Amino acid sequence: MDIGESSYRRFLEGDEDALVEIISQYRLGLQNYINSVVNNLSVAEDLTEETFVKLLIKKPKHKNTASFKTWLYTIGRNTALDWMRKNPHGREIPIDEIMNVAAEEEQFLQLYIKDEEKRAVHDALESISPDYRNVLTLFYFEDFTVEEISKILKKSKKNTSVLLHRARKSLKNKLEEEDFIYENR
Amino acid sequence: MKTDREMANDILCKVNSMKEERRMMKNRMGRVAALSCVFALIFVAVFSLFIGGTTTDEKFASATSENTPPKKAFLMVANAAYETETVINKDADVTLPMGGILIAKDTKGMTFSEKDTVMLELKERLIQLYGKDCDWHLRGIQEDTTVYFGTADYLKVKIENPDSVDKISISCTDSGIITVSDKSKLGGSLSEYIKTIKQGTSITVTGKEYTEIYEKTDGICIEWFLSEIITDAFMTSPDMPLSEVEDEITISINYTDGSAEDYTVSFSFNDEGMLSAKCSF
Repeated sequence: MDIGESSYRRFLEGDEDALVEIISQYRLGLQNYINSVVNNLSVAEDLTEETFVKLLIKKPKHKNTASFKTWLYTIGRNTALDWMRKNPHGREIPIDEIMNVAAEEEQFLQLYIKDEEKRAVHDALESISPDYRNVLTLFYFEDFTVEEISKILKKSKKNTSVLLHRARKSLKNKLEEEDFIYENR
Repeated sequence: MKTDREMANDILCKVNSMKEERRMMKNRMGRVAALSCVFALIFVAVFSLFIGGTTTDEKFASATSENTPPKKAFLMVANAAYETETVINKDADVTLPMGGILIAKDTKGMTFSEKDTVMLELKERLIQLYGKDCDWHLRGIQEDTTVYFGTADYLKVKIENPDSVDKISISCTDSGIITVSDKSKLGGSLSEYIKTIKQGTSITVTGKEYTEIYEKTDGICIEWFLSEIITDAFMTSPDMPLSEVEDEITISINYTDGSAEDYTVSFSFNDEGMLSAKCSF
């Protein structure tokens, strides 16, 4: 059982501190993942909060075969896709807020991605296709297995492997363009 | 950036206000239903007086006849998200919408992202069907043809005296695959939330299993999905009319006193892919 599952169980039994534990454990990773879908950190923060609300308010369909984290990220992905559907052109940021957004992004990156190499990968991800960014974020930053990713993305394992392979290739090309020494994981 | 504690407090506030809203909505719906019943009764009484006799509807008469033993089981279309349960075996041959929808599209050459759009289209249609967003259970295949089936409702079999149940046999044709599960109320532990008990085209739930489920969720839940045979058929013929997909779920309940009840639920889709269920017994 992962930590999230035991915290969630305690929360359902009435321990509100357990919710803080869940948030503390998954918030930044989930936000980073949602950001890979919506490509807007401020929106990703709102959607992360919405994902936690859904976790508590809905009658979620958690499968015993999936871990709590996989389940949470699946809800996060659906929340992000819903937002994308309602906002096909993304959210426009007023020009006087751009500096604040950039500062927030920097703060987030400092908190979540401390490793220099990971920062370089994260930056490279921004310039590849959203599908590739999505799958690589789950694989490299959130440490999900191919099987878990296939559950989150609702794709077959075979399709997920193919997607991951193409995404790695695209990322490798991008990193090589920037003289980054690429090592296979 | 909010602290974790601040975020938790905001989330709890939102959750509480949503629960309150849902409770008020439920009360409102309850009042509307009660008023509708009163008006319906008045209408029946006035109509009976007007035609100079009592209602003679055969179905109603046979359902209430003293010769026909009352049904022990309630067969319902249920929705966990809205906590709604509509009994479908009170009258034979009643057709009810099932809150399910099927979509099949030729997606040869599409990117993953474009195929995802197909799924969003399905969700959009489900939202239209319900009038608002809901808890979906989506299953799909994304290959040269994308086939998705989404449901929000499920069938529920409830027998109020669980000790009277010897066994429940559930089967469907090879068009579908059924999953029998319990659906615990929110408050149970996560791993116990939905416990899939059995899956296949022919399932038997023993009396002991039913009693265990009944103690937690007061009935067994039957979810239906497309079988591989149907998805394969769409793979080769993406334009196959959705209304050609149908299935029949047979539910036989054997009681410990030797009596038995049989129900048949026919699933059919209209041309738009919307699912409905008809119960006969």
